[in-house]
Parts: sequence; C-alpha cells; structure tokens
Amino acid sequence: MQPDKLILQLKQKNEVAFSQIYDMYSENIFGIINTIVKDAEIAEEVLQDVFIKVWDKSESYSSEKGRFFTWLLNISRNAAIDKVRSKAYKNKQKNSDFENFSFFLKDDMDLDSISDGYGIRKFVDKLKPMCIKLIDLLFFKGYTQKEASESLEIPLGTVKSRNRSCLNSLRETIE
Amino acid sequence: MTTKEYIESGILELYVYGALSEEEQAQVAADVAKDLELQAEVESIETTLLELSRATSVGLKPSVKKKLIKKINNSSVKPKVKIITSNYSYFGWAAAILLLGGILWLLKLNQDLKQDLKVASDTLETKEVQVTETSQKVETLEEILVKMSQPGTQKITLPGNAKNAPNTAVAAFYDEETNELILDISRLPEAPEGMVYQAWSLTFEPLTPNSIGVLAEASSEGNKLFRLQNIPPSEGFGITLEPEGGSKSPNLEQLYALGTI
Repeated sequence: MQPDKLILQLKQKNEVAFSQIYDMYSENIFGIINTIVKDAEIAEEVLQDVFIKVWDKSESYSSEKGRFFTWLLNISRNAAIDKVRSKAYKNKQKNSDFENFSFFLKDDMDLDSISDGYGIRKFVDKLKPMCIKLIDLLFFKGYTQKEASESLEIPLGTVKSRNRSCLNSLRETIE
Repeated sequence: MTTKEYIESGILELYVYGALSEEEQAQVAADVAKDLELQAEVESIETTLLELSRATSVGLKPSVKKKLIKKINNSSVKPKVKIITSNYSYFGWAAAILLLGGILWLLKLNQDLKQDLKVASDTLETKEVQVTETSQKVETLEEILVKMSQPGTQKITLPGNAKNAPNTAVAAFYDEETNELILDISRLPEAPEGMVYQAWSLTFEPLTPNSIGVLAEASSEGNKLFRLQNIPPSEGFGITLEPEGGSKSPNLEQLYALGTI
C-alpha cells in the first residue's frame, strides 16, 4: 500500500516522515541508481541528491499524476542519467563491463554482500535473456516503449504484453 | 474494455514504471482510482518492482541517512548566532582595555608636554618683548645723551616758580639749528591725578606762548626726560600744570618753571 499519510506529512516538511520514507525506499532507489551509474560511490552521491530533491520538491507530487514510487523512480533515473552524462563521470568511468541489472551476478563478492532474503539471482534465474533486457530498459533505465522496441528490435505493439509476461514470472516467485 | 482486458494489456506495469506519456499516466491514475481490482493489480506490480529493485542494492551505509538528515536540518533551520563566552574572549577584552588605558595615558602625557611647552614659549616671548623695550629705551637715552653733548646744544636752567615749585629747577637742552629741545623734569613734583605738565615756547614783547608739547609720556621712565621737536624760534621756555590733554594757552597761576635763553 502507498503510504499516503506519510507522503502528506512529508509535504508538510515533517522530518520523521522523511526519515520513514527514506527507510521504505532508499535501498530500491540505490539499486536503480547503481544500475545506471554502475559505481556504488557515485550512486551514493546521486541518492543523496535525490532525497534532498524529495524533501525540497515533495509538494510537486500528486496522486493524480501516478504512484509515489513512480515519482521517486523518475527523479532517481533522471538524476542518475544526468550524472552519467556529466564530464566528471565520463572521466572516471572509462570502461564498464556490464550491461544491465543482472551484472551483480558476475561477481561473487557482490552476491555475498546482498543481505536481502531474495537476492538478485532468484529473479534473474526466472527470467529469459530478453526479459532481463526489457525490464532493464523499461523499469531501471526509464525507456519509453518506442525506445525499447528500437533498442531491442522487437515490434512496438508487443512491448507492453511481453513486458507483462516477463514481470508475471517474477510475481509468481514473490507470491 | 473490461477490467480483465485492461489488466492483461500490460499498461499497468508501464504505468508503475513511469514509461507512459504524462497524459497516459494521468488517465491510468484516474482509471485505477475508480476500480478496486485495478488498484490491487497496481499494488501487486509495485510490490514486485520494490522487491526486484531492492535486490539490486549492494546495501546503503547508515552514514548516508545521517548526512541527509543533517542536510535537511541545515536547509530548514536558520543558523543560530553563537555568542562567544570563552575565557579567551575575556583576555581579549582585558587586552583591549589595557591598550585603551595606555593610549589615554600617552595622550594625557602628550597634552601635558604641549602645555608646558606653551608656557615656556609664552615666557620666552614676554622676555623678548621686555628685552626689546629695554634696548629701545637705552637707544633713546643714548640719542639724548649724544644730543646733550653736541657743541650746538646749549644748556638752559628753568628755575622753579617760587610759589608752586620753590628750590627746584628744570634742565633744558636747546639746539637752535635742529629746533630740538630736551627737558628733564625729574625735579618737579609728581603731577596730580588728572593733571599734566605742558611745555611752552616763549617770545617776549609782547609775551607770546606757543605750546610745544604735553609732558605726559617720558622718553625714558624714571629719568623723566622729554625730547621735543619742531620748536619755533624762542626766547624762553615755560612749564605749567594743565588739565589732562593740555591747554591752548598756559594757566599762569600754575606756572612751575620759567627760564630765558
């Protein structure tokens, strides 16, 4: 359930509400940002910027525009993409050897550090390679259907339904 | 479109992703708000995405949250002005007071010295004036002395009047060529208040007196010497006591000295 009461308190600049919202979403936001910037240190910086923005601009969120989580996602992806496009970032990240959110699997150290009960492997194992790419672009990277269709060379009309079936296989795992 | 078809289309997933246009997002939000079944589906999708994204996190340090809370506190609370009350500030005040005292003392000292200097220079000025006055007097006396000793100068004694100044005389030194006359009236009694001695040039047959000067300010104090110039041709000289400022014609009742050449 969306924490409507907390969101209202956040808009009234309630620090306790801010703290609770941070606890609820910070790890998710961190994962999203890290998938884009591919550097935990930089991701940490971006995450701080994102939550400062959440604090400063909370009144701009309206449930009529969509989910609060979606609002957070948009801020996070935009901040992370801006970071990736910055000169400082380009200088630091000369070569990255991973493509999408499943990159965590390539390093055993990273796997061990994930304390979450599920872990990424549980999700990735359930997904076909095309599903990983599709979810990566649409959810993690914020691509539109058209951009995803062009990038993955699949018909535009099938993006919506394919994505749903991909996500359904994950939902079964959770439920 | 039925609710089932709506769900099966996959638009709700894209809605939660935020992958739709702004208008589509608002439309879906409105549709979901009206339908409990759609709401449940959206919640379920969101839960899955929360799980998935959480699984990609490598774990946030607790310090990140602390930093953030600090930042939002700084941005919303005005900084307080800190009043320094440490011992160092007292040392500072003490030093400032000592310095101020020192400066005031130096100023006072400077003023005293200036005052002393002014007194000394004033005294010096007074002395200089006195010296000038004295040397002027000496000069005048020297001139008179020179005049008296010149060959063309004849000494005339003007005996004191029997009634007003018995047993005295006034010494006069007359130079016919330069028309100068020097009178020494030191033997005459002191002129009373409001009165003054006046000198007259006299010619006889008929007796004609001409004023040649009021003997008010002596050329030399103490000596009562008077140096008179532009004396008309004279056969004698007289001295009378007249009211201050002198008279046009002599008061013969107050004749003090009279003598002929």
